[in-house]
Amino acid sequence: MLDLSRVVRNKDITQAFIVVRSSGEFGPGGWIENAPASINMSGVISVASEQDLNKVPEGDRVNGAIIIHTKEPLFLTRNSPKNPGTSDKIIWNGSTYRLFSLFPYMGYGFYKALAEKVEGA
Amino acid sequence: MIKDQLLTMEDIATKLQDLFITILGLGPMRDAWATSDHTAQEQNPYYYVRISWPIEGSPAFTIDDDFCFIRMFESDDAYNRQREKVIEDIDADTIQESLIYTRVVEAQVTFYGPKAFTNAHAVRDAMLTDAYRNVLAVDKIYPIPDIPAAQQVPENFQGRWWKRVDLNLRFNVLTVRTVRVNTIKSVQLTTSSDTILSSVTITSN
Repeated sequence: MLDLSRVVRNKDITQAFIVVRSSGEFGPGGWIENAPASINMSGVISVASEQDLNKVPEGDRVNGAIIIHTKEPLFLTRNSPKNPGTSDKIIWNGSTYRLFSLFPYMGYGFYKALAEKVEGA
Repeated sequence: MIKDQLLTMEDIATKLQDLFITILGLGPMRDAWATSDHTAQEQNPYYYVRISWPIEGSPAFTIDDDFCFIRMFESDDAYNRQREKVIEDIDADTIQESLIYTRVVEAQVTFYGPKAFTNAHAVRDAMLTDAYRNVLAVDKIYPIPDIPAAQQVPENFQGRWWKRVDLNLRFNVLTVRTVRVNTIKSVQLTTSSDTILSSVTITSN
């Protein structure tokens, strides 16, 4: 199978970003997140949807989405018996994005994901 | 002296979660989980009895096992609007004002899995059983015994029909909110007429 990971490792087009990976467990009161791990990664990031300003009575809300291509594995919320957790977050250019879509292209040597902008930690 | 009795919706949901674990026969699993290394998710009773709307989301559930989800709401009810006010002396300078009332809350409980209907009925009957009612009474939570029948609402997901049964429970919850204020120690009164200006200070004993 064709290995396309060289494309997403090309230093001319890759950027650094941080993946915040959460795990946790169910407990009294509901889902309890452990302290997340921060992982330095690089990949190709492009814009999936521009940052839009929504004016609501409570203030201004900005949303937007990015596409990430990377060689390293990314995760959506997973029900793994040994290591359950919620979707990865990406910190890029000072903003935080949460994965909501993952394209399983690992057979070609890379991962593609869509992430939406989130406010707060 | 009257004390605060302020349970949040999260508090009530957590107490129901713990009780439902007992009702559904997962009590021994809870005891074992408390002393385990927490590595085997399928041995976690809180995995099976959950509280809805986790802020960051949470892993989903499977079609093979039995799960229960609790959603808490405050219920709009005439009983929810009655207030009793009690004023007590704390000391010479302080009084305590207590607002005492019954909050009516609703738990929408959703059961999934092969035993969804059986589990819904077990919980419904438990709300009328003193052994379980007494557990909630410790925290001044009292199930309202007029419980609607459980509703079967199978869900189509990933091309399969998931067994689902909804049960609505309501509870009266004693709520007390206290506030302490200083008493008035003295008041100066000034009266005047065309010719006389007089002032008097009234002091409490």
